[in-house]
Amino acid sequence: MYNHWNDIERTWAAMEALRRGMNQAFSGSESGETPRFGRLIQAAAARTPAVDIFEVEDAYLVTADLPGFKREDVELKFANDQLLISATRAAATPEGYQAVMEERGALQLSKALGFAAKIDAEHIEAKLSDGVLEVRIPKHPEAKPRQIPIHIG
Amino acid sequence: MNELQNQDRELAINERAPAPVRLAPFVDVHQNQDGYLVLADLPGVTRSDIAIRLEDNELTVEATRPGRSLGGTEVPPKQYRRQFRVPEGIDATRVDARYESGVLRVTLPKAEAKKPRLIEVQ
Repeated sequence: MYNHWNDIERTWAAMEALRRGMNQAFSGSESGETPRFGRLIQAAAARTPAVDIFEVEDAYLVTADLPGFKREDVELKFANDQLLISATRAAATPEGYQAVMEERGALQLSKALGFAAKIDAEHIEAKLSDGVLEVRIPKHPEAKPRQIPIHIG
Repeated sequence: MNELQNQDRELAINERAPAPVRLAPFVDVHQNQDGYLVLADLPGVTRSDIAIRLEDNELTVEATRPGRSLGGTEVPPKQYRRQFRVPEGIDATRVDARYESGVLRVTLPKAEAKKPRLIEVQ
């Protein structure tokens, strides 16, 4: 279900990138210069990073590919039963260098995820390692499947 | 005998594992007077699973990323690969690579200009 929405978002982002790219190609870049021949026309719209969602018995696990993001580039909130993720990486040419080829560009993730089970919001944990964000969202104890003993009467 | 059994088990595991998805990572190339800087987005890989080769002026970057199967959702393993033709004059002995926060940085320094050489008269 989530993946489906992700696809729609990506399609939308791609269309937006194309539209801006065309605008730039015909009217020059935003700085007013004509884009140089042989240079990649930078898509002004950011790409959306890949997100995977897993569900296990006692928790949900959300992972997002965020290469080159620092901790302060990522914001996580849980409000109104939804996990809100927002993360942005700007496109940048390192100081003292001239760009030859730029594909990595800007990445922007802005997502609100709802869950079928009640969430134990106090115990949500997140870590960012090797450019992958991993958020563990535990289900509320009362939402976990419970073994019901059968008494013999 | 034991070895055979182990082999069988390994085969069974391999058969069940989904085929890796081949991907070309997004790459930036920058240059200055000292050389080139190549940046590649390679999230979720381990340093030891990255292979970088510079051969006949061709730079190859390869990395594997394990898949994940959890609670009925399966994410297949990924195989990243990218190859570039680099300009002549790179000092292959000083190529340096670092991996941090899911981004690979390869620096390709230009070779020092060939210094004039004094030729001794025998």
